[in-house]
Amino acid sequence: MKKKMSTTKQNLLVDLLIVSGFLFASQPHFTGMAIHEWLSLGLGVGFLTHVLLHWRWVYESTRRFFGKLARQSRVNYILNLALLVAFTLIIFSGLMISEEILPLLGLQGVQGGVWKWLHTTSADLVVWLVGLHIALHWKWIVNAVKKYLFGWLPKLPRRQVAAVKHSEMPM
Amino acid sequence: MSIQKKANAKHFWLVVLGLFLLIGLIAGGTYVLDAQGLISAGSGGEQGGSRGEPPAGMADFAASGEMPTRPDHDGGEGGFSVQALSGVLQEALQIGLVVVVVAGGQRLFSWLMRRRRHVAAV
Ligand code: HEM
Ligand code: HEM
Repeated sequence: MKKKMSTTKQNLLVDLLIVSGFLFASQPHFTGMAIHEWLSLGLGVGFLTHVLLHWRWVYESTRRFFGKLARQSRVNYILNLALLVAFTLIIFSGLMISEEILPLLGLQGVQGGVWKWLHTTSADLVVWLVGLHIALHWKWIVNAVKKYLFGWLPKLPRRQVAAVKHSEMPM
Repeated sequence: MSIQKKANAKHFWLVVLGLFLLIGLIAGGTYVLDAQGLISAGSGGEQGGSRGEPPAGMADFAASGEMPTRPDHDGGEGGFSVQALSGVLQEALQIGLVVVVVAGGQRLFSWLMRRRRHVAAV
C-alpha cells in the first residue's frame, strides 16, 4: 500500500505553491497578460484547495464563532474571511477586464473604469492581508519548513547546542 | 465509526456549499452594485457626473469620442528583467516586514509576560 502524505506536508506544499503563485500573479508586466490571467485563475483553484484542506477548522469555528472560541482563532477567522472577500473581488474583477480568457469564450471584457480600479486597489490591499495571515501562522511555517524542507540537514547534537547557548551568554 | 464518517462527509459538503455560496454572493453583489451605478472608481464619483479633463495628449480622442487602441501587453513587456524581478522582491519584502512586526511583536509580548510573572514569583 502507498504511504499517505502527512497532513502537514500536504498543507506546506499547497501553501508554498499559493504563495509563489501569488507573488508572480501580482506582476502582470513581468509575466505578460496571458500568463497573468491563467496563472491567477489557477491560483483561485489553489485557494479553494487550501481552504478545503482546512474544512474541519472552518466548520468548527463557524459553528462556535459566537460561542466558545479561542481569541486567536476568532482573529484568524475574521482575517480569513477578509482574504476570501479580497481574492473573490480580485479574481472576479480580473475576469471582467480580461483580455485573454473572456475573448476565448467569445465575450468582450470591459475596459478600465470601476472593474480595473477594483482589481488594482484590492490587489494592492491584499498584500497586507496575506502578510498578516502569514505572520499569524509564522510558528507553524517555521516548524513545518524545518521538518520537511530542511529535515535532511544534520542536526546539531544536543550537547553542542547547549555549549553554543552557553558561549552566547553575556559574561 | 461509520456513523462518524457519514457525519464528517456531510460537514465537508456543507463547507463546500457555504464557500461557493459566499463567493457567489460577493461576486454577484459587486456585479449588481456596479449595474446600479453604486460603485465608482476612486474619486471619479465626486465630479457630479460631469466628465473629467482628458489626460495629456488624449484631447483629440476625447473630442472625437473614438477610443485609442490599447498598447499590446504581451511581447515587449513580458520577459525577464531586473525591474520585474525587483517587483517580486519588493512584495516579498513587504510581506516580510509585516511578519517581522507582527510575529516579532507577539514574541516580545509573551516574553514580557513571562518575565513579569517570573519577577512577581520572586
Ligand atoms: C498567498 C496566500 C496564502 C498563504 C501563503 C496562506 C498560508 C497559510 C498558512 C501557512 C496556514 C497555516 C498552516 C496550514 O495549516 O496550512 C494557513 C491556514 C489557513 N488559511 Fe491560508 N494562506 C493563503 C491564503 C488564504 C486565503 C485566500 C484564505 C481564505 C479564503 C485562507 C484561509 C485559510 C484557513 C481557513 C486556514 C486554516 C485556519 C487558520 O488557522 O487560520 N488562506 N494559510
Ligand atoms: C490573485 C489574483 C490576481 C492578482 C493578485 C492580480 C493582480 C494584478 C495587478 C497587480 C495588476 C496590475 C495593475 C496595474 O497596472 O497597476 C493586474 C492587472 C490585470 N489583471 Fe490581474 N490579478 C489577479 C487575477 C486576475 C485574473 C483572474 C484576471 C483575468 C482573468 C486578471 C486580469 C488582469 C488584467 C486584464 C489586467 C490589466 C489591467 C490593465 O492594465 O488594463 N487578473 N492584476
